[in-house]
Amino acid sequence: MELENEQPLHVRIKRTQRASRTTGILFVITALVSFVLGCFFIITSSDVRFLSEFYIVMGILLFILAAIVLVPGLQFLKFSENKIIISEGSSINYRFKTFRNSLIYLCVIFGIAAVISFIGGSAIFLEEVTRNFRQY
Amino acid sequence: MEILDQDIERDDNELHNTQVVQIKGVSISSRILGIIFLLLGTGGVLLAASFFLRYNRYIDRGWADDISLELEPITVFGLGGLLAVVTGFFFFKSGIQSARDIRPLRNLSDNTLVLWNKSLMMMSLTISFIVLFFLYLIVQYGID
Repeated sequence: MELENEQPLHVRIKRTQRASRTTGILFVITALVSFVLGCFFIITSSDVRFLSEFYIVMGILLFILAAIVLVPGLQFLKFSENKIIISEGSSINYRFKTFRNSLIYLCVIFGIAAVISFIGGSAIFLEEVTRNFRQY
Repeated sequence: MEILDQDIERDDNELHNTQVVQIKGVSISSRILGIIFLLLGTGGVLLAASFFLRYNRYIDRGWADDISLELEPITVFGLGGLLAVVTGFFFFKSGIQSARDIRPLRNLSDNTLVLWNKSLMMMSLTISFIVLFFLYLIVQYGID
């Protein structure tokens, strides 16, 4: 009897493809929502009395977010195409390359966010802790 | 016929080697992504903790009472941060597991694929939670 691990990769990869499809769809929806919100911010920026620059900047940031989230989303969807199961392994390398590229893309996007989040979070946390120490 | 067989075998070997190289690439980028998500989540949790400390200080000094404080920042940064930490853990683990699979199997094992599915689902959960929470905030409070 053939063990599970001895089966070819393209037979066992279906579930990963399914998860990848869900991730891709969610990424694309996120991109669309960000785009709509960005439009909303830019349109309403002319109506507000104060902070209109903030609204414009926010809209532009949301447009950028939509653009950078859309690319890995589409790549995940590409990875999840059913062709991989039908083709007898010949396109696996190409698909895995796509998958790796989308992961690298995510590394770049979230890497910038992670550095900002970690440095900002630790700085604010340290400030709060030292302030609390001074108080008591 | 024999030459043809040799050709097919050589092609198979080449395909297999390329596959191993691709899996290695996926494994390395997954570990890096894991570390990045861990950093992101830690930052979020620290931010939530600092909001909590600040609220405590305000209440102690009598500048605010329990009702006037908003819990949304703590919820979004705390829960989002925790989800990101779990995502990072899964990505890191699946990266390590993929690297371990390559040598004996030259392929991915089922357990690794299950881990991959978990990490992908956690990532989509984290991102959709944050986006949906922001949508909720906009609906609740409005933009103006």
